[in-house]
Amino acid sequence: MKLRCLVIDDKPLAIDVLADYTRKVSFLELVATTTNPIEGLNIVREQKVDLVFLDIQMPELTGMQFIKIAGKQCKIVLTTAYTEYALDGYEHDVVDYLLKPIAFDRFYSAAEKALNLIANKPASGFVGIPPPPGLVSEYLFVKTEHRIQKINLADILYVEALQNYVSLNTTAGRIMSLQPLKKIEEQLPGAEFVRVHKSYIVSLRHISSVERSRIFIGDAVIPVGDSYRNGFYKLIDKG
Amino acid sequence: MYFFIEDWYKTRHRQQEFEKEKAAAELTFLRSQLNPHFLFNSINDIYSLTYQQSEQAPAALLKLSDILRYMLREGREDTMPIQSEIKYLENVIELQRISTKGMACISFNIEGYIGNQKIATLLLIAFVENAFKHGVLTDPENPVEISLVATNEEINFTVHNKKNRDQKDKTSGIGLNNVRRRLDLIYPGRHDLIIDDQPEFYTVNLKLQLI
Repeated sequence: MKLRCLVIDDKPLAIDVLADYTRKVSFLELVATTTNPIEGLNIVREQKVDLVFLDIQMPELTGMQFIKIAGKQCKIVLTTAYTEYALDGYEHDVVDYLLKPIAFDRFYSAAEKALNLIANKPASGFVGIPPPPGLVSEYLFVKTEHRIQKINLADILYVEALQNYVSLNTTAGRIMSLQPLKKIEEQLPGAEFVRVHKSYIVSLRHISSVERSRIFIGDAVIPVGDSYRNGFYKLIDKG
Repeated sequence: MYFFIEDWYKTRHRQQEFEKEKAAAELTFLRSQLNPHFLFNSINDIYSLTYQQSEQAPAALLKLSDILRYMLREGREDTMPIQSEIKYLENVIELQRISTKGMACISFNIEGYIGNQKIATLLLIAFVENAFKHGVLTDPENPVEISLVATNEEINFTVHNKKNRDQKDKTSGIGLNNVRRRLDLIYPGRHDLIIDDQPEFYTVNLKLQLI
């Protein structure tokens, strides 16, 4: 899978570097570059762009306004020479933000994040295209209050839905996310993670024991919901 | 009675000194409002040039270091010879040209006598930066026009630019507010600032009596 990407920056020299970086990354395909964000909107609409590297401070249209208009159609990585907008950017659901000058490895990790997000959570353009093997089964990214946190799937013990958020219990501790449980569930490989209750997903690999309607993972006791019981037992019997 | 009067004079003197110091501190502060966007974008431009191993990279870096030195060292002086200020303006304009890969259309006309007459430090640059920030830079039909007419006693400085659909952050106004304040403090009754804000074009004209 290749991400079709677009670079928007009002400074031609800034575009040069990013354009060259995209050519170095095998899973990126540079569709276009433009110094004009309004033209950028057209390109996003007409050329099926997956990922936009977007400067924040531009005449005509700022990066923030661009996101409001096109943020649903593509993933955004913000680029800026100056930091005051970083947090604001996260509110708009951006993949990452990069400070100029941007080192190549930093650029690469942002691109990788975007790839994972797009591969794990199919946008309309990707329905039916299976994510590349090896990507899904290693880690996922969840949005926490202040950052996007990378979590190794192998470290996840179980996931619990609480009132307004989700708690991912991992071997390294709890990570809170405001994403709904359903959204997390979609990102977890079904072979290893099982919904056992309307509020719980467990990792099969970490289960210590099972007792009627309870699952033990380390010190934690997880209830098995009535409607999930049959499916769950079928699954572990198989194993 | 005599002591009372002496005391009153001392208090008043102290009060005046205090006012003076306060004004000096305020001026220092107003001058020190660097433009971080300009600085970091210039650094990024030079990064780009070095990445491409462009022959322009060394010259651009020298210009940036001249600019920084001027802001940090000479910028601490209250006044500078006008020729130094102009050199500084030229450096900033030149970096802007490099940044747009030569596509920027900026004219800078200087007439009259440019020598050692003193002018408030880093004053004119605010108008130029303002034009770079809010103006259209790359339209040959509507270039940014900067002009300076100077005599030993006074200057007439104009910046004219076409406006871009200005959607930039709201902090952008700070620059010119600072300038107004500085003009009031340094050139009370000796300056005339006219801002002509049309829908398409923006023109700033500053007349200054240097002495």
